[in-house]
Amino acid sequence: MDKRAALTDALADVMRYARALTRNADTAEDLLHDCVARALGRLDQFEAGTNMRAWLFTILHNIHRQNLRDASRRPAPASLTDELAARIGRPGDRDDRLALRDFDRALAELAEEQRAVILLIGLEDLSYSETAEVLDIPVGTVMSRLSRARGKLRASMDGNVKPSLRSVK
Amino acid sequence: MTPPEQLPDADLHAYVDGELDDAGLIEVEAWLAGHPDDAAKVHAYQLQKRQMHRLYNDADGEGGVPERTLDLIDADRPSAWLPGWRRMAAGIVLLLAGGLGGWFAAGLGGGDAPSPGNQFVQRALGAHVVYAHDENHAVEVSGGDETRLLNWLSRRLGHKLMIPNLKGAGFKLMGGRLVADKGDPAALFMFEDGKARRVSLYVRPGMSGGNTKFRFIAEHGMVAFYWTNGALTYALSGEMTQGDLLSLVQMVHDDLTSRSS
Repeated sequence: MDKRAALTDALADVMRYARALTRNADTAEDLLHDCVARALGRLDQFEAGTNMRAWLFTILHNIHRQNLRDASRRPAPASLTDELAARIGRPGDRDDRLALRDFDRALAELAEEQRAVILLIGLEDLSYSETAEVLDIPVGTVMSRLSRARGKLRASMDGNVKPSLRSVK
Repeated sequence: MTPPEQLPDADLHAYVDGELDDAGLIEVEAWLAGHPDDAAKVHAYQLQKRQMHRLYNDADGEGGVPERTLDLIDADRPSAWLPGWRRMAAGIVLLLAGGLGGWFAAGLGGGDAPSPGNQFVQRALGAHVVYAHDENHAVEVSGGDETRLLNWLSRRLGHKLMIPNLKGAGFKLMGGRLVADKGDPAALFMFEDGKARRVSLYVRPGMSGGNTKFRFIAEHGMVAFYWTNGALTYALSGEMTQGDLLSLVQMVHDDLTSRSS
């Protein structure tokens, strides 16, 4: 496939990931825009036949890291719940909607480095090794972050353990 | 063999994420069958994945990619296929500027003898006239099952075919049929727009030997354009202006090239 077409096809997924990672629509749009600009500039470096989405996620993370360093500020994790719940929720699905909102809140409480791992694997279907490459960390670290993130989410979904007091490995 | 006391947590995650090989898969499934606590964990992890998709999948399908980012891509489109297309377009301009009636391309093939390309595009136009005007049987297999249609014709032609997407110009795939082109199998895909205008894409392998890479003809209010791309030669025919047909040709060429390269 033409690289440019592959890039265009991947945009919606990269946007989705940026929103889920940053939890802020404006930040996510800026991040996507900068990511695409940089990707277009180095499209010849993309190896045909490799994973375009993983390549874009890598660029996006590099920019994101740079931004956080530059501003040394982390946008407060605003919950996207209201907007999302309004879109997903059907009247009558109240319990379900509440469960989804709790889940979203629990995602928001994760450290961003854990959220990145759980989103890349669970939402974007990257393999462990692709995730390791995107985040520039060893596969073992991917697995331990994944395990911790899922454990916290599960605890908060069960509603019986305070996530912040759970095991510190 | 004594079964392990405990399965590593990592194995449960690997199971949920499809990271296990067949042997690992069987082992974990056997373990889960006898260990409800771990099965509950797996269930919870799977639920987390589904919840993430529910939260973040865009219901509108647009993906929320902002205009300005899309514009960025459009603006930066020198594009790999353009050189080829430009050459082709330059040829078209030449042909049109010649102002010839009937065979626009008569002079280009070299001499008066009809080249294989001339004959091909004429056969394509002939097929279009015959089938496009058949109200009820324009196609043999409807476009409703595009995969089946494509598999069938690809098998008969011995080449992997693609059907271009012309929805951007308002043309929907009606279906296709197998036709005999000088005794060889060829495929014909028929498209129709909201005003019941029909265009057909005629395609066959084994025509790439000639020197001429494109050809444009107009006869009896019909126009047809043919070109060769790799092993396959295409002709697009329709009852429309040259300009309309050429913009469709561009769309076909763009779509097929972007998907095959």
